[in-house]
Amino acid sequence: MMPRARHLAGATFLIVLMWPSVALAHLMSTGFGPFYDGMAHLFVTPVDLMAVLAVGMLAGLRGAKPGRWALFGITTSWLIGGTVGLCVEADATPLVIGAAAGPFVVGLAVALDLRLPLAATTSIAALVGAGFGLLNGLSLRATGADSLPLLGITAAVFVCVTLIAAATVRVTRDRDWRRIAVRVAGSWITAISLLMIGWMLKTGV
Amino acid sequence: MKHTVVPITALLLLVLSNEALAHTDHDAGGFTSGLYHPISGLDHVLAMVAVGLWGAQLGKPSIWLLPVAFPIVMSLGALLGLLGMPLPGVEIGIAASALALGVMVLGEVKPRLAVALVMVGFFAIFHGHAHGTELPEGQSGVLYSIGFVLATGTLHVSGVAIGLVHRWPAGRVALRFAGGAVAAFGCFFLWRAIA
Repeated sequence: MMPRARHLAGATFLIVLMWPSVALAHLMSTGFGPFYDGMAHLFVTPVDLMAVLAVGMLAGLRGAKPGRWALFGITTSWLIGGTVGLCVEADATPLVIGAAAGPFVVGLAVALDLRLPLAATTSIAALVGAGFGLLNGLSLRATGADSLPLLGITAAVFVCVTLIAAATVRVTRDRDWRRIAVRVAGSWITAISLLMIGWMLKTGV
Repeated sequence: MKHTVVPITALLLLVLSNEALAHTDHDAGGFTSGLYHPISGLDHVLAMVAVGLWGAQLGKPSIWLLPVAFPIVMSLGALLGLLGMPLPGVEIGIAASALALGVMVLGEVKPRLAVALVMVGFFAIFHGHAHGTELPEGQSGVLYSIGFVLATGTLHVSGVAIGLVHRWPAGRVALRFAGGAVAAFGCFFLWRAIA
């Protein structure tokens, strides 16, 4: 990729991440159908996106193999958690704080550059996926949606974790400062999650 | 490649476009409020930039460890503020942080890493607590938090970027002058907080 195009792609990614939008319990309508509504949901839900970012970076920091395992761990568990959420009747409110704790823990692990074994990285990815999937499933059930949006969300998670983990593996291979940049990003995710937890506790979610 | 990136960018932005919000107290206002909050006070700005300056003077690993530690501990302070836990002398603590960090940069003081981390973390609690108690009602907590941390982090990165002049002899002198200026402002803020 040409340097200018690479910068443009990076700026696009940043704009998309920072694009101010309302956290929606209902799916946003893309006009392309429920599958694509589900795909778009991930990109307009900052908490979910932060969790995916954090897991991708954590796995990528450990290398290609943990990256691949985490990718399948988070995607599979997200789908399973979401399916369970679609099938059961439960209140999602207590899960919301737990969901914010996910990016906090994973972001901290990224910031500390913890040398976790493969099983631990995969388990963390699976736990985060299961939690967020369950939350998505419960929210979808509450809005009367079927399983198609969940498939869309899972597909978006798969693509995002693939790209983030692969990019992290690639950029942290040669240069120390790039590894530091990833760790700084992890610390920011931790700080944001901690603030969110405080906010949730204050407002009662 | 660039011929495909531009249309994809436009398409992404179109797909993700939100409804126009005329009311500023809507949830979507949280991001800009959060972004603005850390830069709304000179005392906060100077202290956060000074963290980056000092980190740059100290070199590896402080150059990145201090700016990593500050936002995390600051969020902890904000959490305390959000939960309504009182912290005495917040304004004095914030003013003292500018003074102390300015003095560190001015004197090019190089303590052990743990000491520097504890010092930065200690002052971060006061900054965080002030932000936590001043959070506006009716905003999106998630977006506010993202804006808040991004702004804080950017201030640190700016400090580190400025501090990179430390590699040149003239830059070292300029950096110490900058530290002196921060310390002078810190004195003023401290006098104002006590008076």
